[in-house]
Amino acid sequence: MHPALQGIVTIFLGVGGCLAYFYFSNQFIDKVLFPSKGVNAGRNINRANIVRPWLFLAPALFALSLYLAYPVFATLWYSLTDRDKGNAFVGLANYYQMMDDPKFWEALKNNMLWLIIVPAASTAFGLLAAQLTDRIGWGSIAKSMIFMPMAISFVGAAVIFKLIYDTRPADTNQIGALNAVWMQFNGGVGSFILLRALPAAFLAFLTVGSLWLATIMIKGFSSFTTILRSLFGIVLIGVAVSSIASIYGLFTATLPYGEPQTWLTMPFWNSILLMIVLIWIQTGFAMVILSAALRGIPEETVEAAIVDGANPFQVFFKIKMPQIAGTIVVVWTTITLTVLKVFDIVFAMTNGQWETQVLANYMFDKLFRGNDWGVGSAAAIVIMLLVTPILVWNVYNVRKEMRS
Amino acid sequence: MYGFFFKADVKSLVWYSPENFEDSDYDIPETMEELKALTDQIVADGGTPWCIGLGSGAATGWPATDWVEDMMLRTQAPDVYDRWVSNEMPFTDPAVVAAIEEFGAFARVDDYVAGGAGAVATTDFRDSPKGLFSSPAQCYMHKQASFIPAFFPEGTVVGEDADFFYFPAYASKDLGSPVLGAGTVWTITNDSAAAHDLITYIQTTEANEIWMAKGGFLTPHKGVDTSKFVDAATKKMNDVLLAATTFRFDGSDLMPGGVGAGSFWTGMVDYTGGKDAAEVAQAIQDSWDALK
Repeated sequence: MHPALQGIVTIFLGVGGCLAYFYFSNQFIDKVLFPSKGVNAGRNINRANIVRPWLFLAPALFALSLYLAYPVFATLWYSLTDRDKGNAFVGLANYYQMMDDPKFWEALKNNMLWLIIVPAASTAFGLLAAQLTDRIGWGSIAKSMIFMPMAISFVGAAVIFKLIYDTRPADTNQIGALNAVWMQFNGGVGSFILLRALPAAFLAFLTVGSLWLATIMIKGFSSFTTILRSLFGIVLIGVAVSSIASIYGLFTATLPYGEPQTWLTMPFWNSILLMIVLIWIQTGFAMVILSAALRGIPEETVEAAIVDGANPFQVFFKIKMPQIAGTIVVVWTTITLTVLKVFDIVFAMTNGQWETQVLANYMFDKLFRGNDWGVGSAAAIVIMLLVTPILVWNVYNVRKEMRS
Repeated sequence: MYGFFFKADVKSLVWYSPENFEDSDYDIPETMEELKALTDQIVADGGTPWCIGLGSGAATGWPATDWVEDMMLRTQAPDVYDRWVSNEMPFTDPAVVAAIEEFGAFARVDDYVAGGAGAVATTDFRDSPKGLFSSPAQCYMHKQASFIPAFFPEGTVVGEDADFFYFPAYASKDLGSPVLGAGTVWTITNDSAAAHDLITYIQTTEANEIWMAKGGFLTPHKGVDTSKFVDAATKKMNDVLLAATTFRFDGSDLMPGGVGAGSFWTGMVDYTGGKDAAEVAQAIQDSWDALK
């Protein structure tokens, strides 16, 4: 049979099957099991109404327990057993083995880096794009351009960026855009301005900005968010300190002009280059959600602020931001969940080599390449433990958003 | 007998462009000593001898395992190779470390490889051989298995634009001419008369020659008429196989997946990145111990 035809038949059978299930099970309960006539009509109707929700939920519950609950417990069990010893229970031996593996700690460290940088950058860029495109004529075109990467699979994006970061020998044409740009620098005035002065100015701006934000964050002792805000403030101070250190580094480092760089083999920076791929994808998502939230802000509040003499920055930070804070948190945590599970990009671009390992790829490596079910499952459990609190918080926030 | 090879692949091959060799008046090296001398000669003449690329997406590093296996066969007796592959002899054995360093003697010297040693780990193995055919040539030699012509630039004719020679053995070591390869081993899992008939049939020269004439097939069968190969290049490749005094299966494929398709790959990437050979070998052995 032709694949397209097969698809149509599958859709027909699937949708038809669902409809048939709901229709006939409903009929069955009303007509056969608890008929709403005869002596017990009233009691039967009550009983049918108690059973009905469960009946309709049954397929979903079955699928969820089969594909979600069962794998969780099976993974937990695998992580406590050793397959080579006939699935014997070995306690936490697999976890100890994993703790001894430096690659695991590298993956955990990188995941933390991803966790801080990607959601922050995606949300910030998304908010920026949403605000800037809000009032201009070609804003919707710009928005669709920024949103476009969302339509690309992670692996596809990874392949695109792998080409951007590609390296060719010095005397040949660089097919990688990054190296092609890099080869234009020769250490002259232009290089000084673009590679040292401009980044330094940006970092100085970042330092001032994060210190300013940090003071705001730490100043406001009001509600239960205090701890969160002070944590955030401490992170911001850390950003400021490292920016100052980087400014110093910018002017003292000797740059290898004229030599194509193998970007993906530079520890630390290669992780940042991989993160850029995800930021590129997620910015569109953040922008769309935040754009809708910005549109939802009551005009009066903005007008009142302008009448009171607020400048655009004050309007944005003091009027608009607080009103969409809930949405920002939802966007942030949603991206955080994606980041914790990040696998495809690392797998397709570096496979965790050159110190870019992340937990999901570590798990895949152990489970499916190393055939080490114990350690692989242990890594999966660790990922789950990391995701769960953020997931709970995310669901809590989404529900809060929906209620308001 | 449990099984036998029918359709084999040869890995111990060095590819080159005959035109470039002619222009520079280089001879095909017959021994490893000559190969190393040629490598230095090319550098002295201002060229770059090798194109080496380990990049292969998530499988990055595997071409280096072939190098190390070939070097093992050229520096140690076959039984040492077998004990290494089964881990009776640990990865940290000086013999293995020496073989890794033999590979490093080619791949870790900036002047020897196109793009410098830093580019080895990231260059894709499919792109790497293209340097042979660029103008001016980025490199003169590329060591890779018999499948690689599939990744040559379009229109490249093996035998004319590209050719290969046997990755030679040390004349000073007296280990014969070992060949590293892979292949399809045929065995019977479901005992039946028909299965026995088929196995008996494909052991005949006739069965081998049918596939030889179709192409894409190498045979370790010594009795075949090699003139029946589809083209001269395939015949030459098969001659390398038949001339082998030792044939060993790709070691990394025989090791447990966590090593042969895991830490061995990543270890070789770390090694080309500048890590110490002994340190890398220790890491690989640790991962092997962890699997036991």
